[in-house]
Formats: sequence, structure tokens, C-alpha cells
Amino acid sequence: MFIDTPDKSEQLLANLLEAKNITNHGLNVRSELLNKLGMLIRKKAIDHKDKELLALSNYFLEVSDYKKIIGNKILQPRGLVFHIPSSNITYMPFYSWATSFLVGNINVVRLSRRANLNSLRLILNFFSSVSSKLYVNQYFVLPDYFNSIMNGCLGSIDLRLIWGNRDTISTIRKDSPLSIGLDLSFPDRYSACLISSNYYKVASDTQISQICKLFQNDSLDGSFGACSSPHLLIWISEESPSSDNFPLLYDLNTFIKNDVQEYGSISTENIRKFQESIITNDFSFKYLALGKYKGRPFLLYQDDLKLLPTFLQNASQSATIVLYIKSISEIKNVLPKNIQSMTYSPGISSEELSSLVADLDSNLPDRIIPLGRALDFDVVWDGYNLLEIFGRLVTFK
Amino acid sequence: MIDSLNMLTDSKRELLTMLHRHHYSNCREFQLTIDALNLYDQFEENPEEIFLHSSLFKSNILRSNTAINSDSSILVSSGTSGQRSRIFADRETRVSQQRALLKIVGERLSLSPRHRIPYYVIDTKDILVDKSQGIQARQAAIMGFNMFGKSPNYLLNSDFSIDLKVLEKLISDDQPKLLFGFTWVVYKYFLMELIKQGINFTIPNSYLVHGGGWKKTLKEGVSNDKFKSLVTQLLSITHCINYYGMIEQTGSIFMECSHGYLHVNQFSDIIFRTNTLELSSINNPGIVQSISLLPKSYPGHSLLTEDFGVLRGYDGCKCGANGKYFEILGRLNKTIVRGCSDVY
Repeated sequence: MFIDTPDKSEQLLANLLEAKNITNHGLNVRSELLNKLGMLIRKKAIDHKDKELLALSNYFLEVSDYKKIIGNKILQPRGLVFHIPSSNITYMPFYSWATSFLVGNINVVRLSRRANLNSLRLILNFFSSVSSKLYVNQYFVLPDYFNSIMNGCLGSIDLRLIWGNRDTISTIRKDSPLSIGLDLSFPDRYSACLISSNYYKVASDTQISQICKLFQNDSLDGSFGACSSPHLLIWISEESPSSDNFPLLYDLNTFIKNDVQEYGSISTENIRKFQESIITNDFSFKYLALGKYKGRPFLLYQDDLKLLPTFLQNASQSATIVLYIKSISEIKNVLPKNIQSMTYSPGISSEELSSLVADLDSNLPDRIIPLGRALDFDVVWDGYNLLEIFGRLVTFK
Repeated sequence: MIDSLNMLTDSKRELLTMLHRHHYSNCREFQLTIDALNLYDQFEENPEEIFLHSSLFKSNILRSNTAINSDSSILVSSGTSGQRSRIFADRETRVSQQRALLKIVGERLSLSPRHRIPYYVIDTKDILVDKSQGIQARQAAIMGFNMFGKSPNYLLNSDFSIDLKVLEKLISDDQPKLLFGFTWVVYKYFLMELIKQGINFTIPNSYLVHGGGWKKTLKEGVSNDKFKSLVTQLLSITHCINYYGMIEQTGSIFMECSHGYLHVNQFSDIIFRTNTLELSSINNPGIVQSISLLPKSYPGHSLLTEDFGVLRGYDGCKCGANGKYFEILGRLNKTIVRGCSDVY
């Protein structure tokens, strides 16, 4: 149900306080509903060539096949779950919701002030096409009403998920502390991308176009605004890249269409973000500017590696930091801790990756995935299996 | 597809280089952005490649080492499309901007402050009252064009309804007149109201100059052509002249010629860029980079905007004016680059 009026908001709070009546229809039914929803959305996404919608439908289909993820484990709902999703991905509220719905929880999802309500309504319209059962105990709340509902039932919340930066998470936890419920947060992170220049040098034009396309897929059309987009680019090459010799950047710029109104907007916004960042953050590190992609600078890091995490923290939202290494075995010396996703380009063998995983030890990113898959939402996120987080695993011996 | 016509003349490049140096030495924020990408060496070689994003003025008051005193003022954008820019203008900059406006508008309209004509402002007088946050763009423009007019007559009441007495005065007065208003205000509160009330009239030998707030007008589906045809239909005014300008570059506005193109002038220039920020070729739409050779108290001399337009030519406009002529096509699609950390 869409909570968009004071009356609905008050009614919801009263209902939540009155009884936690979990009408869960059974796991198989919910899985079937989610599957149907995924199929319907998928069709729409394909018809309208909507990448973001397609990714959402894929996630619904993946999660609905829950047995592949949890096997024969028995999963029970936690109860009342509040979701506070980030606003950078249009359908983020539904990613957060789907897994919890499958498990059978009562869900209250906050919609961002900056959310595209038309897109979100589109998904809710699909709910009614599938079954009214999808609406039972599922609430999508406009921000004006969310806090009063949440604060009115802090003692009853069993699980709260916050996707946001550290300040936001701290503020919410301080202002609206849960009595006994579990608080789980996904703070902002950054991600890396590994590209082998040996492959790049001999790649055909088609292969290079494919790499550019996959890189573009990973960067939210060039904004790099997602935690899983590549903010650190590790370039494996015999020679150090320079502004005159960094073919990837040249090819990326050649690849993007000259659609000024669409992509020009991202270019100017990236410029703004970078200049804002320079004014407010410390950029006094040694680096070399290699060029720009959609207005976003690519900076070859040349300072002490110990300082890299600080620089990443200051610069990664507005610039792509390039690290150059001569061989894949050097990654263990340069990769900072706390990387969320690391994508790898074609040309890096599975043997090399396996040995990298063994070498990295405690520096291992949460996900190591092929280029182009960075924005796929996985049921395992930031190292947590969401199905297991949203549910209670029953021990049965 | 670089087109040399899109570049600047040598004399403007020199002036731009000087301004880059001035702001580099005097504005910490400008210096930081230059140093961050090591662009200092480009000041002479490629001065047009150095620009700030116009929205930086929305989140920062950028000053070039000028002391704040009773002669300095803060100019504030009209805010029709969101957050407002705040511009720090000292006396020297303000005077040079006024002189530029005088020259640009005077030449285009063949008017002079020595021979002032009746001045009608299509706005409410109340707009001049609120200066609590600085001088607003609409206030600055009304005051700026006042240089050519006798004491202003305001055509709108406080509630934005038409002041019929002033309208009657406008219609009955036979002398040439200067009418000025923000495009959005003229359209919504004057032209639309005249249609509603079934009023139309003829104002011979007069000028309607309008500009600003056009993003809102475009959003309503009112193009410059549609606006002009409404003006012709309702006012039968001899000259309806649009201009393109921004509060960050007050004074050095780009005025529309008799053939409907905007023209650069000695105080300003324009560059169009592709989405990869290369120079666009002629007749290919690009992101607008606007250059003003006037601002000294703040680094607003070279700005990358969120508008897009197209260079139509150089020296060949049928109106006979020299230099670049161009069109503004609209606003880039609004993109807010957000990260996973953005919740609200």
C-alpha cells in the first residue's frame, strides 16, 4: 500500500501498534508471487529497453528461486521490518523490500524525497496485476510520514535496514533508537575495477567496444554514483599510463554517443561535483590527471600507498583514481581494505583470479565479479546474505 | 569535429588569460580547482579550457580577494528553477557591468541615457523591496534597464494582476517606449492575462526587452517563437527582443538580433561543447560555456552552464552584425549524481 496521506499514515501506525499480524501466505506462495511480478516487470523492461527495470526484474526472479540460495534451511519471518533505502538507484526501495517480502515480514519502506514516484508507482501497479496478496502488510511510505510512523513503533520494530552514509546512519540511530530490534546498516563504500592492458593492446575494435560498454554499465551511465561502481581503476600494464597514453579513456570517450542533452548533463554534473569536492576536500596528494570521461577526471595516483585510503575517501565520489601495477600479483600490495566490489576485465584468467583470492587474505573485496556486472544487485550484499538477515533460521535436529 | 569558429578571438583569449591569472592569485577556490588538475600552464595556451561550473555559486560565495564593504553587494539569481546563486560584486565590477549593459543595449536598441524614453516594467514594484538576501536578478535587471528610461511604471500590482491604470497610460502614450520584463513574468502575468481579458493594442516605435526565467517558460512549452507571436498578436509592438544572460555574468548579456539570433559582443563570448567537453562543431548542439570579460571580484568569467545551444555562424548573420551568433535550445536534462550515501 502507498502511504501518501496523513490519514493513511495514522491508520498504518495504529495497525502496526495494535497487532503484528503476519499474513504470510506461505513461503511458496510468496515465491510464486515474486516470480510472477518479476516476469511481468521483465516483459515491460524488455519492451521499453529499460536497463534499470530489467535489473530489478532479474533480482526478483533470482530471489524467488530461494531454494538455490538457502537450500533446505528453514526460514521464518522476523516480523516488522523498516527499510530506509538510498536514493541513487531508482528502484532501490524494491530491492530492499523483495527479499524481506519473500521471507514473510511486514515491511515499511521509506521513499526518498528525491524518488521518481512515477517509476515507483509503476511497480506498485504491477502488484495489483499479479495479486492483491502482494499488498498485504507491505507499505511504501512518503518521507513526510515515515518518521512519525517509525518513531511511533520503535519498540515493535524487529529489524531496520539503513542504506546511507555514516552520518545519516548515526543520526537515525541516535534520534530513533530501536528498543530491541536489530539495526543493520550499509554505509557508503567504494569499488574497484581491474583491467589488463595486455588484453587491451591486442583486443579487436569489437572487444574494445564491449569493454567500454561494460565499463559504462558499471558506472550508472557515467555518474559513478553507486557504491559498487568503479571508483578505483587498477590498470595492469608494463608502462605507466599518461595523459597521452591511456587508451581506455580515449576509447571510452569515443564510445559514448554525442547525445548532448542526455549525457552532457552527466558531464556538467560530474564537473560540478569534482570542483565542489576540490573546494571542500583535501586534494593535496600526488597524482597525474589522465583526462576526463563525461566530465569526471581520471587521476593516476602517485603518492604513498598508505595515504591511498584517505585520498579515496576524499576523491572517489568525484574522480576515478587510477592505480598502475605491472602484474596482477602486485594487487595484494596496493588494494586498500574495505573495497565493496571488484570487477575484472576479459583477459584475466580464472587461475589468476583464484590465486589473487588466496593472496588477498583480509583485503578481499566483498564481491569479485566480471566487468559489466557491478550494478547487479546480489542477494548477498556487503557480505550479508539478505535472505538470512531478513529471516530467522530455524534449527531442527 | 572541432570547429575553429567555436574558439575565441586572440584579443579575448588574452583578456581571458589575464582574468584567469587575476582570479588564480586572488580566489582560493579558483586556485584550488586549477591546481587540482594542474591547469596553470593552460592559462595562455588554452584559456577557454578553464571554467568553473556555474552551480558552484549556489553552494559557495566565491570572492577574489576583495574586501566586503558598504560598496559591495550580493546578487542573487531569480531562483525560478531551484537553488539560488549568490554573487559577490564589488563596486568596480558592478560599474563595469553597468557600462557594458549600457553599451550593449544602447547599440542594439539605438537608445541613450541622454535621451531617455518612458519605461514600463512588466513586474510588480514590490519586487524591489526585498533585498534581505541580496539584490535579486529581477531587481538588478529592472534597475539596469532603467538607464534608458524615465522613472519606471510598473504594469503589475502586488498580486501580479495587471494595473489597468498603468496599462491605460501605456496604451494612450504615443511616444516610443521601453518595456522590460522577465520572460516568465511577462508570459504568465501579462500576456496570459491580456488573453483572458480579451485585451489587445498597438504600441508603435517601441521595444519589449525580455530575458531570464526562460527555463520555466520553455517547461510550459512556450518557445521564443511562440512568445514572439503572442507579443505581436497582443501588443503589436515594433521590436520584441530576447536576451540570454545570467546573474553570474551580469551586464555582458547576449542580445537577440532582428533575425532571431543571439550575438556575442566585445564583453562576452560563448563556446559550445560536446558531452565529452570537446568543442562542438557549427550547427551541432552543445553544452553552453559562457564567457564574460567583466567579473573581477568573483571568478565568474568562464562558466560551464547547464544550458545547451548551438552555434549558427560567425560574421555571416543576415542582420549584419559581426562575430558569433547562436541559439539557446534549452536546459540539459536534470541529472543529480547521487551516491549510495544519499538517503534523503
